[in-house]
Amino acid sequence: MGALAQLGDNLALGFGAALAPLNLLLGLVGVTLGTAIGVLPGIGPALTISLLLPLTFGMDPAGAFILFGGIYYGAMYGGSTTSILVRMPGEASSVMTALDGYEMTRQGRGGAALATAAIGSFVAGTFATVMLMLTAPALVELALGFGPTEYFALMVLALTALGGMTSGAPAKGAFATFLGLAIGTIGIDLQTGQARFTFGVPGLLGGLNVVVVTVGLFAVGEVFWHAATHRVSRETPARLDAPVRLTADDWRRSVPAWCRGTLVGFFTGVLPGAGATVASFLAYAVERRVSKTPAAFGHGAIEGVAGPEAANNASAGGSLVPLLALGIPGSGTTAVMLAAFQMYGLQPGPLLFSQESGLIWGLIASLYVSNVLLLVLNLPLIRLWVRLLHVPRSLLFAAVLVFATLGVYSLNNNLFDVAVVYVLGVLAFFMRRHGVPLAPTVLGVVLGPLLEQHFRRAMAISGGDPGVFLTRPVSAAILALTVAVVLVPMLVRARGAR
Amino acid sequence: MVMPPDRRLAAVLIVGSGAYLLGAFQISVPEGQYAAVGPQLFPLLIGLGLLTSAVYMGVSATAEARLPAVQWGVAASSALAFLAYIAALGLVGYLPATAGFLVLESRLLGSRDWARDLTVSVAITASVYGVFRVLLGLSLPSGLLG
Repeated sequence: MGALAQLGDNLALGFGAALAPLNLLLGLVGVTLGTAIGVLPGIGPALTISLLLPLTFGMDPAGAFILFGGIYYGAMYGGSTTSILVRMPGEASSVMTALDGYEMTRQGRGGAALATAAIGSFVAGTFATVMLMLTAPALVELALGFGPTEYFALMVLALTALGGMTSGAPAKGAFATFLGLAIGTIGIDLQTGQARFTFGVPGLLGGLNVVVVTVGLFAVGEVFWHAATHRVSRETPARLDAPVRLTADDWRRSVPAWCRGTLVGFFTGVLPGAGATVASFLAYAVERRVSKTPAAFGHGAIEGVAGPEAANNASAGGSLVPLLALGIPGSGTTAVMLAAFQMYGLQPGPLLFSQESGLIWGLIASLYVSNVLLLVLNLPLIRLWVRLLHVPRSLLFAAVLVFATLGVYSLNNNLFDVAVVYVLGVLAFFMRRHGVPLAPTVLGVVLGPLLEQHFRRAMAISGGDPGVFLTRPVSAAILALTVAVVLVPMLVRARGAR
Repeated sequence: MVMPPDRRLAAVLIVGSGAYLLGAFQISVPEGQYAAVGPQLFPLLIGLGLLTSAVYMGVSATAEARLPAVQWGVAASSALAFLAYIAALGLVGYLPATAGFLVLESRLLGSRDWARDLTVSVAITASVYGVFRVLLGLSLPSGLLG
């Protein structure tokens, strides 16, 4: 009963913050912007939040996170629209939606596909927020007993899982992760005052700002890549003739698929490294497996839209659990959100739940509000969103460069940071060309300094004995899990090859 | 016999990783301070990780892998335009540099509608100015002339 009353108090506190006029407005701006970037291919939530980081520097943190939460959820909604109508996924997590969604549009059932995606996203987003609300405090209780050894092990797990999962070639994912950690070592070592990899450049003494790194890799790198690979911006006409609603049969087939997709998505989201794309692939596979007519998949089966769309939304909620409760992000977008927390001098984790409970519960409550706003915004305004595809891509990307430059400049009012962004943008271009994933690098930069700090603290406590990571049961278990994350896919591949 | 692209990449990365490791060895460790782990160990471990994954990338590279086609001319010109923009911000300041850059970059990225490009560029320049300066009170580069 005590726990329930506590939850009620926290929710009241959260809704008090989320429904304050300014925060409500920020939530509305967030979901609108999120839906727009979800619709636009090439511009995703990680890029958008990183572009906004410098602008929100002077804002109240609660308002900024309500804005970011809205963008994250909104992008998951918006990504489906273009998948369904023009077979052009706005986000990687909506690729599966295109398979059956676009077929439904060709058969004149595009309206039903859009409706099942939007309502499924609402159901999944709401359920995931309930689960976030219930599981995060429980995880916080558990994490209160964690010391530097356990945090070190958790960070190693997150880095390994993301590095291992985001690329077809494990060596590239691993290299990307180490590259991020290496970038994180630039600057003065806070414990001893020694300069590391600064090459006598004063601008590097403070290390590379995580905001500068995320803008460079995600935003500028994306524009350079777009410039090199898409000469003429394709403006595909999208048409929607069918009414946006579900028949009784559509409801009967969609509801179980939403439920399955939600569960798959939430738990995939909680796991480090998996994220929305993997969640939607898994949900599609589950739908096909449980279906009595698997042959209908790829030919306009509504379950093939309902499941993955529920899954990618639920995974967004799931991925916030380890971020808020432990301070460990598991995806590109949550890594940028951790960078945002760091920008405000906040470290997510058990302490934040007690010290900044208004901020945390305000964010959680705002996710409920965002879901309602998204449902209201999405279905009636669908034709407006489709028109966004007519915005010339060339101008859009040129504007991203301007925003990136000025945002970074405004952090410290110097052009050195802008030059660093440029160099990182070129680096990101070559990484993309060679199939080296960017998200593990960003996670490495964000987590690297913390990883080293926990490592050195644990070693100091143990008197320099590295065995401490294996003798403490929780850290030993997490490290064993990390080894499994590396070995299991290798064994599976080896068996497949035989 | 052409080297697979991943092997060429690995060769470059091995050199880079070696340079990082060399840098890690040169970090001076202060004497007399008690610390189980100094400032050098972590970079050394990272350097080893970089080197190992780069070597593994080279070993596991397959000949079939192909790199995506890239229009080098467009990529280089738009990157150069961006570099010129950063330089122009320092020289002539925000307003002229940004309006000029937006027109140039959008044309490099494939836009072919002069009237639209000019109008939208000026509109974006003005609205970004409004958001940054007026709404958020942030400073924008004023350049040597400003």
